[in-house]
Amino acid sequence: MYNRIFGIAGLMFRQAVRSRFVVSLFCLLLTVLVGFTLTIQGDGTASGRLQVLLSYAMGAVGSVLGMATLWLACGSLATEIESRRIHLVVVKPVRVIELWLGKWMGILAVVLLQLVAAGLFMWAAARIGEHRTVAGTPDGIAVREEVLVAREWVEGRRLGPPGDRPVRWSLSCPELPEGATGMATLSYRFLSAWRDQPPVIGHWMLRGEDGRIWFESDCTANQDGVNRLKIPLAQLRGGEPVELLFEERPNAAGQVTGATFHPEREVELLVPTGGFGANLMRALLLLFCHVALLAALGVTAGTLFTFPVAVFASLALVVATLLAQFFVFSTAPERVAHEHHHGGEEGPSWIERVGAHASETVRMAMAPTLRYRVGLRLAEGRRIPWREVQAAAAVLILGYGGVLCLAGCLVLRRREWALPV
Amino acid sequence: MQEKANSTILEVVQLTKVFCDFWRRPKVRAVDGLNLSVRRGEIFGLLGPNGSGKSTTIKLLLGLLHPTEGSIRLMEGRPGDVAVHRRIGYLPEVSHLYRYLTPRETLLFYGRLFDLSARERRARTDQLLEMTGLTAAADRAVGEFSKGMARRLGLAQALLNAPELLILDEPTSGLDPMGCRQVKEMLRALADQGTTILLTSHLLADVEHICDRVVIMYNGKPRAAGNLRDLLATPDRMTLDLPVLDAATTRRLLQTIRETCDCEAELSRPSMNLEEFFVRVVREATNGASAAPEAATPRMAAFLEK
Ligand SMILES: Nc1ncnc2c1ncn2[C@@H]1O[C@H](COP(=O)(O)OP(=O)(O)OP(=O)(O)O)[C@@H](O)[C@H]1O
Ligand SMILES: [Mg+2]
Repeated sequence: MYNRIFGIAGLMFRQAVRSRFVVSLFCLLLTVLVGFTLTIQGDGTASGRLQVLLSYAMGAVGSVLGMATLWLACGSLATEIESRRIHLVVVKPVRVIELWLGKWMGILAVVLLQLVAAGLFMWAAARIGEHRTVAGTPDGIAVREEVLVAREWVEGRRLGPPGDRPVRWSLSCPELPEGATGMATLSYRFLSAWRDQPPVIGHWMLRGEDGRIWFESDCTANQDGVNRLKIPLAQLRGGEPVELLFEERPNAAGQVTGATFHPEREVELLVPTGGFGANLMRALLLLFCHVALLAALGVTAGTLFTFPVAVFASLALVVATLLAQFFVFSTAPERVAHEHHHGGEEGPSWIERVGAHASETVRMAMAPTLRYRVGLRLAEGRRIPWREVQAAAAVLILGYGGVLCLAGCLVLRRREWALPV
Repeated sequence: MQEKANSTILEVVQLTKVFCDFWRRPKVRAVDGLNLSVRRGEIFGLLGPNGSGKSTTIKLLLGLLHPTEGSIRLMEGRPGDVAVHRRIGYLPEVSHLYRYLTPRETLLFYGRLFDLSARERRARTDQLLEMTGLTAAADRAVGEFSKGMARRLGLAQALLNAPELLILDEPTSGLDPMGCRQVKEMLRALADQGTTILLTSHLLADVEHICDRVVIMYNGKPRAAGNLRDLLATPDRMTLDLPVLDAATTRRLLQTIRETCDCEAELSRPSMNLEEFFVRVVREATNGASAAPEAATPRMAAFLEK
């Protein structure tokens, strides 16, 4: 069984190499990554530049690799069936699941190779970026402590009614690594419509459940942008609940700005728990899970359709999945019903109802595939947990991939190989 | 052993295949009520003109197509069974091979599909490459092969698992006369060792000398079937084979025959057929120079010898 699966996978990989697919994709990725590295400026600081570079690079690698993989996967079985090369394979003692898995794993080998290359490039770019800054300077600190780390984070939950002074939040301090010596970051934002507002002068305090004060500090914060307050890890107690208090103090002119906190992510406590390398690896693994799902989609589409139709159909499904997340607002069934209720005599037509239910079904069915995105976490130095990588592998590869594999095998079993598609 | 030799390896009853269009309307009746039974160890020929349904029948036997009606029993199994596929070899009408692979990689790949051990795979690959005269081209891409070379490789992959039943769709198409002769000799040798062979052809000269039994198909229906020697025997004529005599003796001999048996007798001089002539010319040419690889005398792969 494994002999046959790996045989087919090896053939798939070899074909991808010899048809120059691998080298072309590699060149494309390299061009994109080098292009980004040379052109991205960011906000002018080294840390800003690195953040933009990392987030763009992740996005570009994901989309280029995703598209290319989908393409390769759609062709893997479809072209073999069209060219009838499959005849000589299926008259050998090969089960359809071995055929499916072999093709899929061959594609994954190609993906893995490209991801490793892209990962090494990004890692090198990050390290070079780090070496270009001087440790201890604000930019150097930002690069090392805000970008090239993996930080656990918790958001504060607001306590008390709005307008309560001092403003209070409760949060549970993340577990700290053994003997941690670095700095945690308290990050907070104000809601501000104008630039060049006067700074907010205030006082922060972290208070344990027992009433003991862990840490306190005065601060001068900008009303726009993100403010950061450094807290030595030694002063935190991992895993324990803590109350966070902020009180604004009058500035030199004796004024209080009365600035309010930004409703999204008012305050966050970020605690470094790991390095950038491992976080990058986890981000790439998440990406790998998504691409593996696209590969499964392509292989199965290739069992049903000819190559161009398979590409078209699977692309359509991907686009529908993404769009369904937005369409839901205009056509969700309850909303259609609601408009009917308030809109007078004409009810929604059956087309509207069917459309609403269809888009809702697609949204519900595909929503879990969108749950495990890397997003900005890598660039913001936020930790991507191993648990999430495992969950993504289980849901995307075993769950959705398994369903696609099953569907593909059912189609292949019933198929008359010698009939034109 | 005797019992096994006489048992049927393939039994086809009332096999019918109708090709339908997209709307499931019948389009072509490619095979129509075919009955076959192939015994172990014989060479069975499926003959017929173009479009008579030979390839369709073979694809039905291999599970590449599903029958519209009728049943197929193949080595105590059914077409498409993995256990059955382990024991058959198939050469399609056109060798659909992987263009990017070399012959060696091709055979190693198919060997993996048969679950052969790595050592066995390599050994068989080498033997088959030599047997089909492809050793010299073993590391060139199949995509650049000539039709005949691809055909030889197709044949090699069909023999990879030392099959009990060898199904060959026009095995000699695309081969040069030397290759044809080699293939025929090889098939005969395989059959002598107990391999059952089912082959199709419309080149009757090719099958005449090797088939034990044949079915002649036309328009999907079997039109004649039976033992080849019985089918071809012309019971009311015979030939007398003699060295060349001088004119006077010949005349006297003919005279005597006519008088004694009161029938027509004719004299003709047998000539070599073109194939024999071609083979002789090429053999002479290869004797002097180093033999062209494709024309080298084949040696049966050791693993096929029983
Ligand atoms: N996939 C198909 N769809 C429709 N008709 C088909 C298909 N395959 C074969 N046929 C038809 O079935 C008939 C028999 O074809 P088949 O290929 O079996 O002939 P054949 O005896 O092998 O001929 P040849 O000697 O040319 O190889 C032909 O009329 C052919 O057009
Ligand atoms: Mg044919």
